[in-house]
Amino acid sequence: MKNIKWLQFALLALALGACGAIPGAYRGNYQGSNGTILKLSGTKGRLTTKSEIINSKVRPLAFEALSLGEPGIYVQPNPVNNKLLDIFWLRPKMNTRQEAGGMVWYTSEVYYSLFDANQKIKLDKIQLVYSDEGTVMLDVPTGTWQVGWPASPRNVTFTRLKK
Amino acid sequence: MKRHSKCEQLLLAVIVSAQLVVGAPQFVWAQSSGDDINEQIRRAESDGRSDGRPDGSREGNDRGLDEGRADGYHEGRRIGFETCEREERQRAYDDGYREGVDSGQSDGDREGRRRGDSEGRANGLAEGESDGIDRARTAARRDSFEPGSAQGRREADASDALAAGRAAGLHQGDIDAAAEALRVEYPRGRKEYAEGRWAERVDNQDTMQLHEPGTDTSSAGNVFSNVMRRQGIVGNFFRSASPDYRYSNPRRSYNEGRVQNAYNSAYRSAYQDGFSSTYSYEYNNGYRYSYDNGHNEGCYDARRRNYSNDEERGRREGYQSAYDTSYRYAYDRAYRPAYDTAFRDASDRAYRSHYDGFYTRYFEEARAAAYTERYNALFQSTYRPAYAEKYAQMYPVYAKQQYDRGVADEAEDFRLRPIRLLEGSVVTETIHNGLYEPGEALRVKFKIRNFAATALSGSDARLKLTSADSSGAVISEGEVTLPKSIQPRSITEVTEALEFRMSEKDADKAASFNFNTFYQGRAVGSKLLTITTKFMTRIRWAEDPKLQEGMLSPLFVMVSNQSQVKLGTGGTLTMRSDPKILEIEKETMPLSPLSVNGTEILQYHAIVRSAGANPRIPFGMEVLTAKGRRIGLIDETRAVPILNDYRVQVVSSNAESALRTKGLARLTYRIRNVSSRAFAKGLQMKIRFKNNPDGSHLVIGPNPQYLAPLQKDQSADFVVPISVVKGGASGIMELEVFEDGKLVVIHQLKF
Repeated sequence: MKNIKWLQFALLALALGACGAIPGAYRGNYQGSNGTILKLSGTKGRLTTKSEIINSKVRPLAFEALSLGEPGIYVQPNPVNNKLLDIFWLRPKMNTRQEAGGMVWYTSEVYYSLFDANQKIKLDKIQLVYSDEGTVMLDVPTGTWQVGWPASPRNVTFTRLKK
Repeated sequence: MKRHSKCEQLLLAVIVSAQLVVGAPQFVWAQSSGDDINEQIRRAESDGRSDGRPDGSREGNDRGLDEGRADGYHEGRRIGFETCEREERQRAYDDGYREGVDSGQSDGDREGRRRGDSEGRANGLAEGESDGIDRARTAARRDSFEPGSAQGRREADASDALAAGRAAGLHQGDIDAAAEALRVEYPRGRKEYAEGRWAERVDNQDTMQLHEPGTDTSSAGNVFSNVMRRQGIVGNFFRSASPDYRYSNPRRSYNEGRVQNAYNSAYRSAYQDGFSSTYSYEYNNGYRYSYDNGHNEGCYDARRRNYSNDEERGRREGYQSAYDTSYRYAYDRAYRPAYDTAFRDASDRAYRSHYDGFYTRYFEEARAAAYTERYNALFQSTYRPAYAEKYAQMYPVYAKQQYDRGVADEAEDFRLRPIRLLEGSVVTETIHNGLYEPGEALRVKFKIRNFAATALSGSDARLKLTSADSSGAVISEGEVTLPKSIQPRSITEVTEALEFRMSEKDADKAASFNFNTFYQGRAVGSKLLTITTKFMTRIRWAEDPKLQEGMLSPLFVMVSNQSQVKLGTGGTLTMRSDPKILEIEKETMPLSPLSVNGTEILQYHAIVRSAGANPRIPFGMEVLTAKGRRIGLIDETRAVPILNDYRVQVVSSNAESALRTKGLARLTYRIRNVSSRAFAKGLQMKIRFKNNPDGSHLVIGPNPQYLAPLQKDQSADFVVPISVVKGGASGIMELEVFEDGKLVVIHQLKF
């Protein structure tokens, strides 16, 4: 059992390395157009709003993590262009969790963006889509998942803070 | 005011007194102190220069000589080695070359003489023999020509050429006269007789109408079938160098900072100057001294080397050069005498041995040619007169015979075929609008002439119409006899004869028919009738159709009147397609009355139900008159581009049956982005059922579902669980896809 946990840990570490976590050009401190402060490092992110500070780890997007409703910054290479990374910052609201017909779903705050893994020059600005009413939907029989949000989400522009 | 003046005066006096006692000496001190500092600076700078320059010179002295010697030696040695090596190599080469020349000359001369003699003799022999043969041939031909020709002419004079020529002339003249009379006079006889008949008076004009004139009739048919240079050191031994300040010793100290700085700066500058001037001088001396030593040593080293390769190369090149020259000279001197001697002997031998043979051969050639020429001349001298004499004698006889025969034959033909079809046969319409329409009854109008002096029975005159190509014409009356007798010496116009219809597949194509007339089974005239079939209206796409899956899209159709009459009210345009692929909102549209060449564009709306990018869609369009007659038709299947940004398909294999079976149905959809996006947008998918009034189908879970943005060519699968409450119910399940709220696709699944 202990060996299996170590194996899982090693696979997770390998997957994180393969995803490259947050690309270097995107790391740094930003101020959002909505007043929030965003700090991105290679493996962690911190979002500071007027009322709270949210710390999240960067992790590969996986059915198991989503099914447990673990908050985090989920990263996966885009299926049609592996130079791009789909970034989902999720804060699940597990009190909304439901299941029926083989499906499990819950509401979640979602920040989404598409990062260029080959970006070399540090970006002055990054844009994220934000929705308070995003949905994480899991199809248990097939082990597939989908994350989305209703129409007209907020677009938040984060401007890099100078030292 | 006065009190103030006094006060001011008093104050001024106090200030002036104070200045006289205290202020003035202070100002003088300040001025005196500034001059002192400047002087101190000047002195410090002078001292700095005095101290710095000898120290710098000392370093220059130490380093310049050593570094100059080292550089001069190395450069001198390099240059010396290169120069002397070059000289030694050239000397070795020259020595070798001279040796090579000596042996090359000797060998070349010997070999040249040997081969010149040998090859001269061989070539002389071969070319001499050829020359002898040519001379023998030329002489023999010249010597034999005259005797041979004379003998040939004599033999011809003794032949039967004159008699044979006359006999042949007489024979051929008779044959040609008969043939010419047949070629000219026989047809003249027939032609003149016929012209006489055609010039006869026409006593009667008559008409025959074989059918009632046409009225509008409906066409039949089914619509919906189918891109460094090496730096020379010569004369310049200067090398740029910087002091390393090994003897730097700015040894004086000053209390005042500015003074100390001035000293230090002057010292350093003077050190550098002292270094540079001394270094250059010493470097130069050392360089020159050592350069010569190095040069001598380099040269000495070069001269000790072995240059046998260069000597051998010189020897080889000298040998080859001398050999070639000597060889060619000796060869030429030996070749010519050997060649001349051999040539002369061989030529004479060949001449003698070949002359007689050539003589005999050319004698016979000359004889035969002279014989033929003389014989032909004698033959022709009697042939031509005899031919002309016979031709002139016989032609009139044959001419009359042939002319009379032609007249008789033509008279007999008119007797047997007394009626003839005249020019001007045409196809006529039964719907008089200037067009031969598909389905319209078409007939033939023509004229016949009766040359007989008596009336002829109409039943003996037969008309026949056959198709001359592979058109789809239907000939409903292809053969008929005239219904009444044909009056004597008459011209009869026959209308509405025969009957045929063109099919709809012949629209806008040409078709040909053979129209033949017979009298008592004998052909009395024929005509190839060609017509082009057209609908009264032309239907075409005003814009190439483009559709969006699940979305109502406009389709523009243009109808134009291409007939010679106005299209009345009540006309309609109907568009149909396969309803499983294309749903047309309103199939039949009213048409405005269209004047001649008038045009109208009608707009349809349709929804395509297809997952492909360019599905092939059947389209059928017809224009009907108020009475229901079809006057325009398009029946085509075309690839139509589908312009949705996303494609949706159901990937579950048994979706329809699952939706008709009570229980849980899990439908998997696949959505694919087929268009590029400047800004990716999230997707919302909503399911709804049509024809589901009693709630037989319920969506389980969130409806709508959401998906993160898809990049171009990216697809995503998602599952929609449906609770089928009532089994066996049919209906339509629609998936509406929104891109950030904007409807982009409606996918329909019928079950």
